[in-house]
Amino acid sequence: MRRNTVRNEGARGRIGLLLVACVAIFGVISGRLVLLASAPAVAGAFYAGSPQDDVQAARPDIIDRNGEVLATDLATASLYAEPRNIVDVDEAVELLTRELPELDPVKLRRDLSTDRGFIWLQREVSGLKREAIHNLGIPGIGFLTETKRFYPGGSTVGHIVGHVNIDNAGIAGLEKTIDGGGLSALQSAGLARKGRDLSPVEVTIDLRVQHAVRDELSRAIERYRALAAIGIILDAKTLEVVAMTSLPDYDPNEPAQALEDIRMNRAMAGVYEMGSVFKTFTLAMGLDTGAITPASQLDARGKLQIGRHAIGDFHGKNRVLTAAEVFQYSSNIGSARIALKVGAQRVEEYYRAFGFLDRLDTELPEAAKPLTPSRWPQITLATTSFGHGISVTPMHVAAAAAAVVNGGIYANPTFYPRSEAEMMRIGRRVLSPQTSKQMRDLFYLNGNEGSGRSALVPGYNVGGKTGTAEKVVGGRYAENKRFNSYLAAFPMDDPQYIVLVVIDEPKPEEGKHYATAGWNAAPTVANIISRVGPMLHVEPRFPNDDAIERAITVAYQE
Amino acid sequence: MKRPVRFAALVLAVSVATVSAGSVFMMKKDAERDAFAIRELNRKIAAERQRISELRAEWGALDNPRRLQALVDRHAGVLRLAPIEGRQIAQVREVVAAMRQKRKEGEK
Repeated sequence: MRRNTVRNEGARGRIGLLLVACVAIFGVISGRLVLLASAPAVAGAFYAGSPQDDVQAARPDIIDRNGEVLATDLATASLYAEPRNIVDVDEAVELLTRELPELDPVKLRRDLSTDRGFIWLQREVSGLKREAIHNLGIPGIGFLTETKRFYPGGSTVGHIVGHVNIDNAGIAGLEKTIDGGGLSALQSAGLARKGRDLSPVEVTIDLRVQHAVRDELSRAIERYRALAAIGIILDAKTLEVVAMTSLPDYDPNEPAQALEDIRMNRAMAGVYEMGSVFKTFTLAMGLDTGAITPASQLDARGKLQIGRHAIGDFHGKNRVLTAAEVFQYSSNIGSARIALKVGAQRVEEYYRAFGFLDRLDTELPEAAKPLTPSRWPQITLATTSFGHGISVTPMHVAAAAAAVVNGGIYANPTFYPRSEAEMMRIGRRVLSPQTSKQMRDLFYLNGNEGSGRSALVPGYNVGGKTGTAEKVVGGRYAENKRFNSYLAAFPMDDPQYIVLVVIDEPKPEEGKHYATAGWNAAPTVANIISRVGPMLHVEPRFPNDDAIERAITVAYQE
Repeated sequence: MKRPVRFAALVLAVSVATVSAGSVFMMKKDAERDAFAIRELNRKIAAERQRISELRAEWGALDNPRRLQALVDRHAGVLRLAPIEGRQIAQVREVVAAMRQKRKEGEK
C-alpha cells in the first residue's frame, strides 16, 4: 500500500508535467492562430500576381491641372518563343513568317534552333495578327502583354511630358524626372507593377490653354512666315507653368522626331539674345536701387559713345526722355544710361537674383545654361541693358518678369503644383513692392500708349514690353533677321498671368511693311489672351457704364 | 459508477474530434473556394482596371482640344460656334444693376 502510494504520486507528477506541456504547446499554437487570423490580409496580395505581371513595368499617368490625361499606359501584345519547347522549327518558321512578313526567316530559324528558354520575337503586335498567330497553335510560341506609353495629346505637350524608350524608361522631359524620383528603383525592386496603384503625377499645365497657345503660334508662323515660335504662360503669383510651347515640336508617340534639331524645346533648351524685353529688368533695377525715378531725365540725343562703340536708337526721339519714356519708346541709349548709373556690381547682382546667370532648375531635365559675360566693362553693361551680349532662355525672361510684376518675389518656375503659401516660403525677394508697382504702371503705360497697343484685349487690361532683337549672322547683327518677342502680363492692376511670345525671323505680313514685334508678337499675344482669359477664370473688367450695357446684352441673350 | 463516466468522456472526446475534424475540413474547402474566388476577382479587377485605363486613354484622345477644334471647324456651318470673348462674361451684380436701370427707364 505504501509502495503503491509512492508509485502513484510519482505517476501523478509525470502526468501533471505532461498535461502542462500539452497545454503550453496547444496554447502556443492557438495563440499563433489568433495572430494569423487577426493579421490584415495583405500577405495574400504577394501571391496573387502572375508571371504576366513581371513584364509590365508600370508608369504613373501624367495628368494636367484639370485631370486630363497627358500620358498613360496601354497594354500591347508582344510575341515570344520558347525554343526549347518547339517541336518542328521549320514549320514554326514558315507559319510565323507568313503571318509576320517583317520577321527575318534566317535569323528566326537560327534563334528557334537554339536551346534557350525564352526569347522575344516581336514587340507590339497588332490585335488582328495576334488573333491569327494564336490560331496557328504553334507550341512554344505565345504572347505576353506589355505596357506601352501613350500620349493622347500628341505633340501638344510633347516638350513637357517628354517620352520613354521601348523598355518604358523615361528618357526625356517629365518622364525622365519621374524615373529619377525613385520610380526606376521601385520597378527594379519589383514593386511598381501594372495593377498596383501608382498615383498619377499632376502637372500645372492646362491642356486647353496649351492647345490655344500652340494653335495661335502655328497660325503666327504661317502668317508671318517665321522659322519658329515660342509661347509661355506663367502664373504670375506662384510661377507655375500653365503653358509652354515651342514650335516646331514633336509627337512623343513618335520619339524619333525628337532627334531633329529644329524640333528642340526652344523655350528652355535654347538661349537667345532677347533684345528690348530686357529693358524691363534694367528699368526695374534702376528704380529699385534708386538710381532713377520714373520722372528722371535721361539724355537720348544722338548716339552714346562708349570707347570705340556707339549705341544708337531704333526709333530715335533725339531728345531728353524721362525714364518712363525710355521704356515706352524702347530707347537703347536711355536704358544703357540707366545701367551705367546702377553700376556693374549691382547690375550683376540683380541679374543673378533674376536667375539670368544660372541654369534654370525646374522639373524638366532639358534646360540650357545661359551665355553670360564673365567681365562687366561699360560696353557690356550698356548692351546687356537692352538684351544684347547676354543670352538666356525665354523661360528665364518669363520667370523674371513674373517677379517684376507680382510684388518682387522670385522662385524657379515649376511644372508641379505650388500654392501661394509655399511660394511665400521658398520665394526670394528681388525687388521692393514699390518698384514692382512702378513697373506695373510702366507695363500698363506701354501696353496702352506704347509699342504694345496691338496686344490690347477688351476687358483684360494687358500690359507689356516689346522686343525686336537683330539676330547675329556670321558674327554681325543682320538687319532683316529678327527675333521678336512680346512680354505681357494681365490683368495689369493685379497681374495673374505672364504671357511671353517669341517669333523667330518673322517676315512682314502680306500687304504690310514692318516686321517689328509690335506687328507680329504683340497681336499674337492678344489672340492668345482673348482665347485663354475665359479659360483661366480671369474676370474681365470694363469701365462702369460699359459694364451695364454689356450686362444687358448678356442677360437678354438667353 | 466509474464506467458510465468514462464512457461518456470517451463518446464526448470522439465526437468532439469528429466534429472538429469535420469543421476543419469544411473550413479548408471554404478557404480553397474563397481563394479561388479571390483570384478570380483579382483577375477581373485587373482586367477592369486595364479597360478603364484604355477608356481613359481613348477619352483623352477624343477630348483632345486639337481634335475638337478640327471638328468644330469642319462643322462650323451647322454648329456656328465661336470662342467666348471677355465682353460675354458679366458678374451677377452687373446684371442686377442693368435690370434695375432698365426698369427705371421703363417707369419714366
